[in-house]
Parts: sequence; structure tokens; C-alpha cells
Amino acid sequence: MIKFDKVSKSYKTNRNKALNELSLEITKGEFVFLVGPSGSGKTTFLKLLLREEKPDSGRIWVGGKELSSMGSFKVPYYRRNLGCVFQDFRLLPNKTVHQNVAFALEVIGRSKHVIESKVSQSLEIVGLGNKANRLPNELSGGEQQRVAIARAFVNRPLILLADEPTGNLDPATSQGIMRILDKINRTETTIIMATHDVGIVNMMRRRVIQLDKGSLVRDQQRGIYGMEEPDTIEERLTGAVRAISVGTSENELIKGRKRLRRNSTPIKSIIAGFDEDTDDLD
Amino acid sequence: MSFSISRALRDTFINLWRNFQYALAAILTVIVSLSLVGAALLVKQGVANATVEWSHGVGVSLWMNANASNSEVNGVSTQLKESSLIQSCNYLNHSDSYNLLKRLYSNQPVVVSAFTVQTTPTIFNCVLSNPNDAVQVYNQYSHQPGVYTVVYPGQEIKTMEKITSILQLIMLGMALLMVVASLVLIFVTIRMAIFSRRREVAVMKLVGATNWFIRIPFMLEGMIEGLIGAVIASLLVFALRSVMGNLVKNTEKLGTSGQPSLLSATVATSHEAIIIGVILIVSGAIVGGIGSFVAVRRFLDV
Repeated sequence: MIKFDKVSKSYKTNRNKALNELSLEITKGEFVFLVGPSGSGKTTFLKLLLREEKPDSGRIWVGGKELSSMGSFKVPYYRRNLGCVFQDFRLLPNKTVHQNVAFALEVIGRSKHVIESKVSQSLEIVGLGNKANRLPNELSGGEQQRVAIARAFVNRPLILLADEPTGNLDPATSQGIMRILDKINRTETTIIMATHDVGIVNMMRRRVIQLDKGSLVRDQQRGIYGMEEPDTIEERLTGAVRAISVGTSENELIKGRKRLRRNSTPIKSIIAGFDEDTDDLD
Repeated sequence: MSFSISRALRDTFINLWRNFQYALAAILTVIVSLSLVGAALLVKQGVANATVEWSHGVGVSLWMNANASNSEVNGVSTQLKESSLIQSCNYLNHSDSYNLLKRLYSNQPVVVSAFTVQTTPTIFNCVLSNPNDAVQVYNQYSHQPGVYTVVYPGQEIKTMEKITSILQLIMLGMALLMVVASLVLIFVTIRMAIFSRRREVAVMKLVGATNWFIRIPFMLEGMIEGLIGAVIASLLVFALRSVMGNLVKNTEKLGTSGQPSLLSATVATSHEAIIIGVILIVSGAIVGGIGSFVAVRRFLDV
């Protein structure tokens, strides 16, 4: 599906390379976490995939097409195969939820009939069918991000790129977002998510690609955020709590509750908030 | 590519409305600049018409002395009849020219009272076989006994051509400056429009709207601003033409010697005004198109 072959990229303003001879492959339907400190090249990786940037050297194939030799007039059609979600949502403030999602289809010339059915489907998937006529500023951060996901997914892209989608959200709300991304991933949509969220990565146990100063330092199936097991009690707890939320075994759920009871109130309240959230989704 | 014209138009007018103040400034400058261009073209056409009119048979006038004897008048008359330079002549006797004088100076009785029928000079109005011979006729007849002076419109036309050509240059120069100003204003307007819609543009790029789909509403906006300005400018040019026409008509009522009036020829015909209008409208669209295209190229890197 996606193949990077010795891809390098540097920016004029910075002597260090944003990406340094990066080679990797991602197959269809994978869920990949892109981790690493700020400036490690995560965002550049996503920009290259979106073809907002071209590599200085090396090649990138997506769905059998080579991106740097693609004519610029073909780029819009290529982007219709991608969905994008950002930390800052990027919704249009003067359009309702429904109009925001519909906009993505209108501007690529879909018929009204198609738009109607696809938009409501997409809003159902993210659990916002009942808030279609709200404006973005009437929604919580988590709901706004769900609208953004609905917009990214409404055209059924092959790949969904997410740049720190939970960066602005509290842990409980982030859970809801991850559930949705997981649901979308099960429809064979490849998901690439750049994140700093330790808890989420450790909880999901998906493929982790770690970048540092533009180089690949780790590529691990069912990986965790750091090189080692999470060691602080908080990290373990959040990991456990998040495991519950994605609906692992009942046994683990009970364990999680027990751990919860033993621990401090703030985390309990997080869990409480999260429980409400899941009810909402199901 | 599926592209809906109605959507593009709707976007265009939403943009225009949101950017109303800038759009207004742009449209006003287009109006001023294109009106100047139009007026310059109108004057140019008028002078060209006048020149053509003159070379088609405007003649010379021989003014006799008021006390010229009959034999002097007859002598000149015979000479004129026999001359190959002259096509035909029309003689205004004392009472004819006195009537003309009374008509010309009807609002200045002092002037009229200074003359009697007998003291008013008689006049030969002649059409030349070849209009270029006016100077020759002047040289030949101005010193004839009984001839007071010979008047021909050559100098007038030459002076008029000179004045109007300077006038046209000034007008065209100013018009050019204003056209540049309107280009810049349209450019700025479109830049503002792009800026105020940057979020939508970003989303459109992200979800794969084609470059032209994003660009066309902005370019249409610039062209429509140019067009609105141009239409108003050409209406102003039509108005100017009819005002000029009326002025000339009023002057003609006081009509002088019965010769074809030079003034009446300086008014462009309505047919010509329509052509000028079309030129203005096309150039308005072009100015708008260029201004917005440059803005779109610079600020809408797709």
C-alpha cells in the first residue's frame, strides 16, 4: 500500500534533515503509530504522504503510484484517496456539522443524492447523527474531532492520516476518538497516526514506528510508546484503563476496576467521564 | 471533471458580498479609468470625423467690403464662376447677411444696432473642387479689389487637431495610470478574498478539490468587478456623447454661414459609441481577469 524507499527531506530553514534515508513499508489495513520527539520528522512524513511536500531524494509509492513523479494536476485526484485529521480539527466555523462533512464531497463534485446518504452514514459512524445541525463552536473538543473524522472518512479513503488527533483532548475523550479510529480501521482503512500520547499507544498495541532526527529507530509490531515497558504507576494505569475501553477481556476489565479503586480520585473521575462516553457511542 | 457553474457563481457572489468595501473600491476605480479611456476614444473619433467631413467639401468664405461697388462684386463673382478651383458658390447679399447677423447676435442688440442692411458685408460661400486648394484660393482672392478677407477652416481644423491630440494624450496617460490602479486594487481585493476564505481553501485542497475548482470563483470575482465597472463606464460614455450632441445642436441653431458645421462632425455617432462601449467592456473583463489571475497565482499555490 505505502512504500518509502530511502526518502530524504530537508527544509531551507534548518540544516538538519527532517527525514534521513527513511525506508519502510505499510500494508493495507494496518494501524500504525508514528512516534518520536518533536522535530523527529513525523509531520514531514505525513506531508510527504499528502504530497504537500516532495522528497529531496528517494521515492514514495502509494497504491502503486510514485508520488514525486506525479503531475501536479493529478494531485487533487490522488488526495481523494486520503483522509486527514489534525490536532486543531480544522472545521469551518460558519458551517454546521452536516455542512462541514458535506463540504468535502461538494468540492469534489459529488451529486446531492450521494452527499446526503454518505454524510449521514459518516456522522452515524462517529456517533453524531443527532448533532448534524449544530455549529462547531457549540460542540465539545471531542465532538469537534469526531466531526473532523467524519469529514475525513466520508469519501471512504484508503488511508487515514491523523496528526496528533488527541493532542488537544483529555484522556477520556481521547478514548472515544481511538474507538472510532479503531472502528474505521476494521473497514480495511489503513491508519497512520502521529502521536505523543503514551497511554494510547501502549493500550492499543499496534505497529509502532519510532523516528528520531529523521531516521527510523524502531519498527515494532504490537509495540508500545517507549523502548521499555511503562514503569511509572500512572503510565501503567492509563494503559490499563485504555485497554478496558477498547473492550478487551472481561477479566482485564475487572482488574482495571480493582486498580482504579486503589488509586487517586482524578483518575477515577476520568474513568467516570469515559464510561459516559462509551455509552454514548454504543 | 465535474464542475458546477451555479456553485462557482454562488461562491463568487458570496465573496463579493463579504468583501464589499474592497470590491466597491475596485469597481469605482475601474469606472473612472475606463470612463477616461472612453472619453479619449470619443474625442479621437470626433476629430477623425471632423477631418473627414472637412475634406468632403467644406469650402471658403469670401467677405466683401460693405461698400464694395457692384462691379467689384460682379467681377469677383465672374472670376469665381470661371475658376477651376471652385465647384459652386452661394451669394449672400446685404439683406441676407444682415438677417444672418441679426440671427447670430440676437442676444446682443448692441452689435446688431451697429450695423444697417447697407453696412453689412456681403459674402460668397464657396465649395472647393479640391479641399486642399483652400490656401491657393486665399492667396488668389484676398487682395482682389472689394474683397475684405477670405476665411477658410483649414487653420481651425489644424489647431483643433493639435489641441485635441494633446488632450487625448493627457487623457490616455491619466487613463493608463487609473487602469494600473484598478489592476492593483482588483489584485488586492482578490488577495483579501483568498485570505478571508483561507480555511475553506485549505480544506478544499486537503480533500482533493481540483486547482481550477478552487481558483475559478476568485477569478470570476475579479472579472465581474471589472465588468460591472466597465458597464457603468460605457453608460457614462454614452451619456457624454449625448451631452456633447445636445451642446452642438444648440450652437448650431445660431448657425453661421450655412456651411456644414465642423462642430457637428466632432460628435461621434451612436454607432461609434456602441463600439467604444464594447471595447470598454472587453477591456474591463480583461483588467479584472489579469488582476485576479495574478493574485490567484501568487496567493493560491495549489
